[in-house]
Amino acid sequence: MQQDNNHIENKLRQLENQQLPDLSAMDAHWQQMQAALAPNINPKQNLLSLKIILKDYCLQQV
Amino acid sequence: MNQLLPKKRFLTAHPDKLINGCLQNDIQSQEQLYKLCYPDMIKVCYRYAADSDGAGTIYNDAMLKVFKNISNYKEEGKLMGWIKTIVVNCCIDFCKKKHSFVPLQAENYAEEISIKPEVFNHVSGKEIQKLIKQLPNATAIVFNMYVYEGFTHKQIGDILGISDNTSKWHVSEAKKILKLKLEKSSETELKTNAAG
Repeated sequence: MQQDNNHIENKLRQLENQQLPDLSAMDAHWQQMQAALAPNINPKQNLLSLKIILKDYCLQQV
Repeated sequence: MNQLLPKKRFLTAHPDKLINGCLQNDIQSQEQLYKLCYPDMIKVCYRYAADSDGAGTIYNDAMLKVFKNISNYKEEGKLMGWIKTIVVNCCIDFCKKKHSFVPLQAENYAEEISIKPEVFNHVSGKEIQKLIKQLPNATAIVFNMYVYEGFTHKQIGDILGISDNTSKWHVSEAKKILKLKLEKSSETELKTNAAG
């Protein structure tokens, strides 16, 4: 009987492993995550990104 | 511009690079790690959530903890295992907030259930998950923790505040219901095939 139980559990795990994950909402979930992370973003990194954007903008204007 | 701001800097990065990036709150490293773990971990979250929104909430809660505590990660080469532990803990917290777990006078739990192996031949993992979601909430949660997360009845009891026997009763009850539904669906399929 214990063998039967193990068989059921193994079969269920096997079916679960074969199942492909649903990735359809991954980008939407990441957008929500980004919003939650926003206060934690390194301010130095933000400043660097801003400098690069400004430099690029200035080059376009020349 | 493209040289200065490569969009997918860590697409094929070594996990150590990702960890270092996350330690510096680098958003690109965080995105890479988030998306690297997503396929495996969202499956775990779906087991405990009613829908995609719920699964996303659990996963994001877990990844927020991962990013905040990544400096505590010391076990080299076991990053996915460390993240999975956090994800599973968040799933359990999510369930504990939503559902109550009533200790039962479950002395007659020990009813062993056997399911004919052939009933699994015509069923997919997705269909099994649907059937598990139809179980009573507490039963489905205990069943998932036992079968898929590998907790023992003692551990489940400690985590959910129920006895080992109550945990065993839920697993036995889940198998009983699944057996009925799976065998019924298998019989229907055989009849349909015979008629066709």
